[in-house]
Amino acid sequence: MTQLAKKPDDGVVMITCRQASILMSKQEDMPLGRVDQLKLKVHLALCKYCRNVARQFASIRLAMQKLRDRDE
Amino acid sequence: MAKATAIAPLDFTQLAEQRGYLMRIARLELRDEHLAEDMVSDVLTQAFEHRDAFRGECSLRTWLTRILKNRVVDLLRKQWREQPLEPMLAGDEDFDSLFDESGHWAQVPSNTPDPSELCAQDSFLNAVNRCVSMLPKRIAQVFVLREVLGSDTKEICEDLGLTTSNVWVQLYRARVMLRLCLEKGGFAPDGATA
Repeated sequence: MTQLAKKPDDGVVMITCRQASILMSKQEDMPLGRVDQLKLKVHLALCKYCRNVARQFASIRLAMQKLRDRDE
Repeated sequence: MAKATAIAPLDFTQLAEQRGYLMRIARLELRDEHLAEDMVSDVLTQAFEHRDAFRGECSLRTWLTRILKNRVVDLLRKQWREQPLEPMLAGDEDFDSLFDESGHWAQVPSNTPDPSELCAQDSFLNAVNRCVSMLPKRIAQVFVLREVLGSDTKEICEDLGLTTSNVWVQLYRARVMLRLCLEKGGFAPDGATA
């Protein structure tokens, strides 16, 4: 019973790294809905690997802008 | 509404000064030096011919970039029409090997410094440039349209006749492939790059 009681929460909030990576990419292109935002926030708070990937995605974006703007 | 100060008409020198900037965009988007040169020359010629249309409401660079973007979209549309897309995978199935069955990273992502720190290094920018050039062509075209020409997903859908989810998948693919490529030394802090 205790396990069953925990389940709804797990299903709603906890996402995998794979799902987190999809949300991290999507977030670069459009604002996430509130539920997705929360899921990602919780995941990133708990997962240092995905925090690194978030920095990697952000670095890639910034690098593309620098490749365009450098030699100014 | 009349502007308080009329801007001086554009001369060709001002346009030519933007050539380097436009070339950097065109090279990333087209991956072909000659094609990029031709396109940028066309853009500058067209801009000069229509210089009266430039009223200084945005920067000259922004105005020229818009002209370039229209050219790029026209070309991609033509290319894509002549060579229809191989049926694109609808999802991210091709990344199954990156994750284990429980959805965790199969290979631990490396420690990554702050984006601004990383991007201050030429070695990182060069690595990104190299990795972009190795992306599958169409994925790179969509990615550069988004990240370098600044189109949003809605514009890309309309311009190229793709669905929203298709654009997301292409951009997701691009980012995942780039990070994999950059994992080979690219994300290492300064001095440790291969």
